[in-house]
Amino acid sequence: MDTADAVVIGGGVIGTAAAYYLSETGRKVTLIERNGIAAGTSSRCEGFILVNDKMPGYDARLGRLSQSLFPGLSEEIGFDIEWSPQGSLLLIESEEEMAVAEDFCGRLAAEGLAVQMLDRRRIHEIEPHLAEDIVGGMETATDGAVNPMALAQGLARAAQQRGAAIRTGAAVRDIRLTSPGKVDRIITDGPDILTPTVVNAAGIGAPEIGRMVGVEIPITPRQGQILVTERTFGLTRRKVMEFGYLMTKFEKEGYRRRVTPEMEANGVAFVLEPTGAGNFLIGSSRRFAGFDTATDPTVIRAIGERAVRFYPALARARLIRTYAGLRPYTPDHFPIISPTPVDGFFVAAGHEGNGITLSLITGKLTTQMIAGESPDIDLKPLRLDRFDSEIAHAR
Amino acid sequence: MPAESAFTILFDGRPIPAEDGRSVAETLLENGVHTFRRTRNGEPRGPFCNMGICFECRMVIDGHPNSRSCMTPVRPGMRVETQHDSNIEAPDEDR
Amino acid sequence: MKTVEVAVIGGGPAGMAAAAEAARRGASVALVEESATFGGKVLKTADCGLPLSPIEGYEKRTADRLLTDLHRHADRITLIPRHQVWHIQDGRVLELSPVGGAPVETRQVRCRRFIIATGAMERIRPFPGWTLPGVFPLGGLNSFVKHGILPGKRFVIAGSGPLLPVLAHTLIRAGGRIAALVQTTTHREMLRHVFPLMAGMDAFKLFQGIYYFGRMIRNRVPIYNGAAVSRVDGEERAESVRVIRLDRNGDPIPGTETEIDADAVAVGFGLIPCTDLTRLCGCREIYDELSGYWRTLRNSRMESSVDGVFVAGDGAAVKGYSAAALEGTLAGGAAALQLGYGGEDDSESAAVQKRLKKATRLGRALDQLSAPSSGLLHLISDETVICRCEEVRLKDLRQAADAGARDIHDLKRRTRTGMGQCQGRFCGQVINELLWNLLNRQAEDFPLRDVFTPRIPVKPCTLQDLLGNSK
Ligand SMILES: Cc1cc2nc3c(=O)[nH]c(=O)nc-3n(C[C@H](O)[C@H](O)[C@H](O)COP(=O)(O)OP(=O)(O)OC[C@H]3O[C@@H](n4cnc5c(N)ncnc54)[C@H](O)[C@@H]3O)c2cc1C
Ligand SMILES: Cc1cc2nc3c(=O)[nH]c(=O)nc-3n(C[C@H](O)[C@H](O)[C@H](O)COP(=O)(O)OP(=O)(O)OC[C@H]3O[C@@H](n4cnc5c(N)ncnc54)[C@H](O)[C@@H]3O)c2cc1C
Ligand code: FES
Repeated sequence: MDTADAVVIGGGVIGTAAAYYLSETGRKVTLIERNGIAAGTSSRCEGFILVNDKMPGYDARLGRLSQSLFPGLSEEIGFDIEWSPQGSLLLIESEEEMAVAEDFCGRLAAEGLAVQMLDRRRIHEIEPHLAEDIVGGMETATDGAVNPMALAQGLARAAQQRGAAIRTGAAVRDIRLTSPGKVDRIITDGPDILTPTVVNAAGIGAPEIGRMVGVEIPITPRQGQILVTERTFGLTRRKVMEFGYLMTKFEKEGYRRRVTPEMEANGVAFVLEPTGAGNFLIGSSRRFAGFDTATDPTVIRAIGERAVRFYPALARARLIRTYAGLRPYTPDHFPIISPTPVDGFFVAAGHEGNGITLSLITGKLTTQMIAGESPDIDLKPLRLDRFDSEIAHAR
Repeated sequence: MPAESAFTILFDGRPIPAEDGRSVAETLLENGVHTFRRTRNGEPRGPFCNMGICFECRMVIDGHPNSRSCMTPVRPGMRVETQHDSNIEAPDEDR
Repeated sequence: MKTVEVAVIGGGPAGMAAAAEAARRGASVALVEESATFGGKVLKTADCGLPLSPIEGYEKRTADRLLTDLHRHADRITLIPRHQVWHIQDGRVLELSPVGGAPVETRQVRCRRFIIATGAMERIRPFPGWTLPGVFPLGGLNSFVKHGILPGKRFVIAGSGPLLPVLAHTLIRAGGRIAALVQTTTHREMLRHVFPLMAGMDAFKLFQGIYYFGRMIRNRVPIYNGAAVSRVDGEERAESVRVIRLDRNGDPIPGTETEIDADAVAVGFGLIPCTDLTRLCGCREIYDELSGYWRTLRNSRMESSVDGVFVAGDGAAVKGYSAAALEGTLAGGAAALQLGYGGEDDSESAAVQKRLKKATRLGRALDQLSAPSSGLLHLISDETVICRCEEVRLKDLRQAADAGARDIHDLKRRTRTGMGQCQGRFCGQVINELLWNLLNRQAEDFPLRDVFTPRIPVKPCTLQDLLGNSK
C-alpha cells in the first residue's frame, strides 16, 4: 500500500501538467497511467498552441493565459519541448469570409491579442506557395507549436524531479470512498494508493473513472485524422489553417464553405503544421466514431484534397503515415476543470481540440482549485455542474 | 551498345554518360559517384536496399527532392543533384 | 473502380501462379504489381544482359513458364503493373496508387477474394559503419551486380543464408574481386544442418548448392567461417572492414578482429516475410522462434484466419520461388473453388502436399541457419545509427530507456525511431531486442514481441498519386 497527498489519473498533457504544478506546492503526488506517458490522445494530435481559434471573450482569455506559459517552459523544466513561435495564419477563401474574419479579428484585438488582417498582396508575399485565389489572412503573432509528446514527457520528468512518483503501465481499477462520500483509496493494477485527493485527467477515459465514484462526466470521443508527410521542402514555417476551420469547430450554422460532400460529412478542415523535424502534419477531420482510431481512405483523400486546394505544391509531398486521435469532446466545447459532489474528487478533462494549448493553464488552475487559492481566471464556466440539466435530461 | 541508347545526364551540373534502361542509382555508381545525399548531420549516404523500401538513395531529380534514385530510370538531359537534407528546396514549378 | 472476383497483390512467382490458376478455373482476376515487370525478386532480374549461368537459365525458364501461364488466360486477367496497394478497405477493396509517375490504371479494385503475395525482404543487423556509402544488404548489392554494376573494387560479403553464395556467384561472373566471404555459420553448424537441408532439396537445389560452392573454391574466395563484420570504417565511403570471430553461441570474441581493405561491403542474414498487408487485414500470425520472424497462419488451402484472405509465397513464410509458385497455385485454385468454379481441390493432392512439405523443411532449415545470434547486437556502439531514416542512434534509445521508455511504442514517441520513410521496416527488426538489452531484461519477461502499429499508407505515396484526376 502506497500513500500520496494527491493522485493524478492519466499521463497525457493534462495529467502531466497537473502533476507538475501540484508537485510544486510540496504535495506528495503520484501520477498513474495505464499505458505510457503521452500514449493516448496526446500523441495522436497536432501541437498547435493557439489563440487564433478561440471565441473572443473568456475562451480567448483562457487560451492566452496558457499560451503565455509556453515560451519559457523548456528552460524552466530543463527539457526541450520544441516550442516554435513562428505565429499562425488563418487563410481566407472568399470576400464573404473576409468580412466575417475582419469582424472576428477586431473582436480578438479588442481583447488585447496580437492579431492583424493581411490583404491579398501581403499574404502572397509572405506565403509564396499559397494557391493564387486566396484573398487574405489573419495573422496571430503569439501563436506557436510544441511537440506534445515532448511536452508530456518533459512535464512528467520535471514533476518527478520535484518528488512526484510516475507510475506507468498500471491502470486504475476502482476508487473507494469513505462512508460520507470522500475519496479514500485507489485500486490499481499495482499497489493500492491511500489518498484524500484525486485528479481525473484521463481524457476520453474520464467518464469511466467518474463512474467509479458515481459521477457522470459528459465527455465523448471525437475522432480526428492526420496525414504525415516525409521530411521535405520548406513550404511554410507557420501554423496554417483555413478560416472555415473555426466554423467547423464551433458548428456555426448559416455559413457554408464550398467543399465536397465527403469533406462536409467528415468535418474536414485544412490545418498544416510544419514540425521541428521537417515533416508536415496535415489535418484534419471531426466526427463521432466511438473509440475507433483507424484512419480511412475516404477521409484521408478528403483531407489531402483540401490541403492541395490551399497549397498546390503539397501534391508532390510524399505521405508516409496517417493516424487518428480521439478528442475528448464536451457539449459546449469548454473543458471541465472542476470539483465534484464527491469530496476530494476533481476533474481536469474534456479539452476537445485544445488540450495541448490549454495544458499548462489547466495544470495551474487544477492546483489552485485543490489548494484553495484564488484562480488565475474565474472557474465557473468550467464547472462540471454546468451540465447538470443536460445530464438529467439525457436520463 | 547501340549509339542511340547512350546519352548524358547532369549530375550536380556536370555531364556524365548514361545508358537507356538503367536507374539513376546504377548510372551514378557506374560513374564512381557514391554519395547521393547528406543527412541533416552532414553524413554521406548512398543507395542501400536497391528495391525502393529504404529511401536512403533520395536525391533531387529534375528539381524534385526526395526522389528515389534506385527506382527512377535515367532519361536524356535529366538533372540529378545531391540532396542536402538540411536544406531541401521546393520543386522548380512550385518555387 | 475496377471489379473482379479475385484480386492478387504482388507479381512474383506466388502471385503470378495464383492469378493464372484462378483464371484457369474461370474467375476474373486482377494482378497488381508495384514494379514495371512481373516475376518478383528473383525472376524479373534473371534476364539481365550478362550471359546466363545454368542457374539463371533455369530461373529464366521458370519465369517464362509463369509468364506463359499468365498470358494463356489473358482474357480473364487484368495486369496492373506500376501500382502499389496502400490499403485494403473492409477486406474487399484494394486502394492503389501509381508508382513513380506511372499513368493511373485504376485507384480501387473491388473483389470477392484476395490473395496477398508480397514476398520477403532482407533481414539486417545494424553495426558501426553500416550507413556509409558502399555498404549494402546482400540482395541490394546482388541486383546492382546482376545489371553489370560493380560499385567497388574489393568486395567483402558477409552474413548468412542463401543469398550469400548467390551474391558470391554473381560477383565472380561479373569479374568482381571478393576480398572475403564472411559467414556467421560455423563448420559445425553447417554439418548439423546438412541433412535437414538436403532432405528439403530437390535435385535442382542440390545442384545449385554444389555449383555455387564449386565456383567459390575454384576462384579461391577467402572464406571466414564463424565470423562477422564488426565494423566498417571510412570517411566518405567504405574503406576498410573489420571481421571478428564468433564463439559457439555466436557471440563476438574480443581481440580477434582482422582488418581487410574493401570499398564495397554487403551484409545480410536471410529473408523475412513482408507482413504489412496481412497485419493490416488482421490475419493471425505467430512468432516463429526457429525462423526468427512472424509467420502468417494459414490452412492447407493458403487461407488465413480472415475469411477470403489468402496468403501465398515468401510473404507468409520464406521457402523460395518454387514453393511460392506452388502455394500461389493452391491459393488461386482455392479462391476459385470458394467462388463456385469447378476443378480439383489441389490441397488434397498427396503429391502437392509432399512437395510443399519438402520446401517447408528446406525453408525452415535455411531460416534457422541464417537467423543471426543476439550476440551480434553487442557489436553496436553508442554512436551507431539504428533508425536510418530519422538518424536515431543507440545512445538516443539508451537515453529514452533510462528516462523510462517501457515499450517500443514509447521508444518511438520519445526518439522518432521508426517514424521515417521506411516506416520502421529496418529498425523494427531489432527494436525489441535492443530495448530488452537496454532495460537489462530477458526476452522471457516479454511474452509479446511487439511490432510497430501498421499505418496506412502501407507504402509511401505522394498526395498527387493518392488523389489523381481520374478514378
Ligand atoms: C487530430 C487531433 C489534432 C489535435 N490538435 C491539437 C492542437 O493542434 N492543439 C491543441 O491544443 N490540441 C489539439 N488536439 C487536442 C489534444 O490532443 C487533446 O485535447 C489532448 O491531447 C487531451 O489530453 P489529455 O491529457 O486530456 O488526454 P490523453 O492524452 O488521452 O491522456 C489521458 C490518459 O489517461 C490514461 N488513462 C485513461 N484511463 C485510465 C485508467 N483507468 N487508468 C490509468 N490511466 C488511464 C490514458 O491511457 C491516457 O494516456 C488535437 C486532437 C486531435 C485528435
Ligand atoms: C532482396 C532479395 C533477393 C533475393 N534474391 C534471390 C536469388 O538471387 N535467388 C533466389 O533463389 N531467391 C532470391 N530471393 C528469394 C525470392 O525472392 C523468393 O523466394 C521468391 O521470389 C518468392 O516469391 P514470392 O512471389 O513469394 O515473392 P516476390 O518474388 O518477392 O514477389 C512479391 C512481389 O510483390 C510486389 N509487392 C510487394 N508489396 C506490394 C504492394 N503493396 N503492392 C503491389 N505490389 C507489391 C513486389 O514488388 C514483388 O514483385 C530474394 C529475395 C529478396 C528479398
Ligand atoms: S536504395 Fe533503398 S530505396 Fe533506393
